[in-house]
Amino acid sequence: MKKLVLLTILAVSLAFGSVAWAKDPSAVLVVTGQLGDKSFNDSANRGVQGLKAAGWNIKVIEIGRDQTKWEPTFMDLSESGDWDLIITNGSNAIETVQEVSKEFPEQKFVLYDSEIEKGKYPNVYAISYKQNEGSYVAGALAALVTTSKMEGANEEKVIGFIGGMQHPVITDFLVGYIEGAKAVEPEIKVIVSYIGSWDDTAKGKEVAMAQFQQGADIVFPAAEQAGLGCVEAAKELGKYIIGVDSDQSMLFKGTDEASANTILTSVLKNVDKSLVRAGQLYTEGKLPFGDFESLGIKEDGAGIAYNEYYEKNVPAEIREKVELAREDVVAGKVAITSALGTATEVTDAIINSVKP
Amino acid sequence: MDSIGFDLVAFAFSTIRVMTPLLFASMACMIFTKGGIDSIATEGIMLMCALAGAVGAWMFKSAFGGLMFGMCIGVFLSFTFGYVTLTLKANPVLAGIALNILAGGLTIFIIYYLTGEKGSTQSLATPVLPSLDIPVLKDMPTLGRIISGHNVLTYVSLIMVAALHFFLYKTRSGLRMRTVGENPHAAESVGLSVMKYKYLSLFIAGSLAGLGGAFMSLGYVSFFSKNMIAGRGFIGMAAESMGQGVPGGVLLATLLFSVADALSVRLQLMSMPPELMQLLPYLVTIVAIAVYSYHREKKKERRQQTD
Repeated sequence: MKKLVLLTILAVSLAFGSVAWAKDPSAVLVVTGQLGDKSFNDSANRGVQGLKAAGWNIKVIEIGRDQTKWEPTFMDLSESGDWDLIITNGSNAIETVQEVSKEFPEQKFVLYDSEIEKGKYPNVYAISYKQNEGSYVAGALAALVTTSKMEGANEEKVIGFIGGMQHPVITDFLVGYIEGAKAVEPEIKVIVSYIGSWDDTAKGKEVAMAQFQQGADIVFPAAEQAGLGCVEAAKELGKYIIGVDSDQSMLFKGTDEASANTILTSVLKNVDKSLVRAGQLYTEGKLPFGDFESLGIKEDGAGIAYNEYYEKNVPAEIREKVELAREDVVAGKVAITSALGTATEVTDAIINSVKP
Repeated sequence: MDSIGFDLVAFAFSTIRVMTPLLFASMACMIFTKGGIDSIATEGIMLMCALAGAVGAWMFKSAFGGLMFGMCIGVFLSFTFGYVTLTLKANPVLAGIALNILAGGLTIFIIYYLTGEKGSTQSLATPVLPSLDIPVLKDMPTLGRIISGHNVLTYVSLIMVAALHFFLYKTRSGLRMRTVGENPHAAESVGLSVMKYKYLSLFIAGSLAGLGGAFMSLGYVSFFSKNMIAGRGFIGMAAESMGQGVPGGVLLATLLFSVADALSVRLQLMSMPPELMQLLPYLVTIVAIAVYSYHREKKKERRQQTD
């Protein structure tokens, strides 16, 4: 008898439970690495928190950088069936998710910052960002700054780019940056270096110092955590930085004004907005699974940050010209090369064309 | 200055800056090894000390306070490692790996607890250790620009090499510590307290790792960020064995690594392919170790022939 009662309770609660699930859409964000990078992962987290505010059932899991733990995590989550969407950073976990998605055809996945082969993974939706568009605008800004009479600008028409490691997404940033700079100043030279790490802030500082000493007055580091070292180098030498992935000067606001002031603007990938958009499309049943979408400035998926430091530190005439460059991109007047899916020879040619 | 020219002064200056944390790491590894203790935990100890340095500086509102706090944590962790491996007889490699992994996670936990962020301690206002201009040297034309103006810990690290040489080879405690490290049974048979000298080496090595870690967050940059040691403890281990465990040799090996590292940064600016340049420090390691083993084997052969 006791057993029967227990079973009934269990059955009823399960039934109600599943009804409750069916009502609220749910999603789990799997962070490859850790939150607190002040950049990409944090932006994704803001996105899912936005969905939470819109009534979604949200959970965030941080799984570190140890890739051996990734597959089991995705398997467990898919097996549980608790989540409508499993959201994760595709630039790191795309292979893992593609494998797992084949085994769980019912489970839906959302990958941000990656592209998938169309139709091959019917339960995966991927979002890529036209970081080259944001970088184009940033490149225009950098070229305008280095040719300006701003305090930290020198005579030479040299700007810098620092990547964490060589990676197609990083090259995409670089190519857009170069093309934006060239559009403003055809004579521009761009120094390109790689730190060889996403974590090593000290090495990041070292690399940035080397670039500044070599004549660059504004540097664009696309290097996650290690980029914080570049900010420090700029602060010490009175030079400028273009931040990346999230609005980095606002992150320093109130705690480190000197650092905030060195970051003229940041190239944004609006992961947050893109995830909110994907969530809305999902609830409307319009999310195109099996495909990817590339979001640019026009769709608010990429761009540069306009904040108080930008207004304060960048002269009005430069801001006007930057705005013109942005409008050109939105109107589709400029053809910006994308490094994604482009032959290395093509991107190398662009990089070599501005070598000092 | 020609924008594509190689700035030798800047390169030399940066080499010395790159060398500082590596030198503390390799000296710590050297003292660990001299005392017969596995040095694999140096990486983790340095990471914890980097955090301790930043947090200490914030708590005591003084960079020196942070430095002291970092050193204390270094000694504490080193003693813990010693207690686990010497007294409780745990496998030192496993214990070392455990400490390194623990440090990676615990540091993130602590900064999250203190700042609400998991990446760095930038929101804590931390004073940093000053740079020193050396009175007479700084006015010398080229040398002054290279040697003067470094962080105070850089000079400490160099003085430390000489001090450790003196300690190891000119003092009674140094001799005894080496004896204990080389052959604990022999040391015991002549009435030396093995544990006492092992803990002495743990104390010195822990402080050195503490200084190296604290330099990262109080000198090199002005904050702690996750994983900021980034393998420097392990490079210290490599430099220790390449330098054959003597202060001068370890200094040279560390210098070699630093030159390669600084060069890899500078050469990228000169249109060298970055893929190759990033390989440089590792290439130098392999070549140096190969040359060293070749010489050692040759020497052995010659000795056998003369026997």
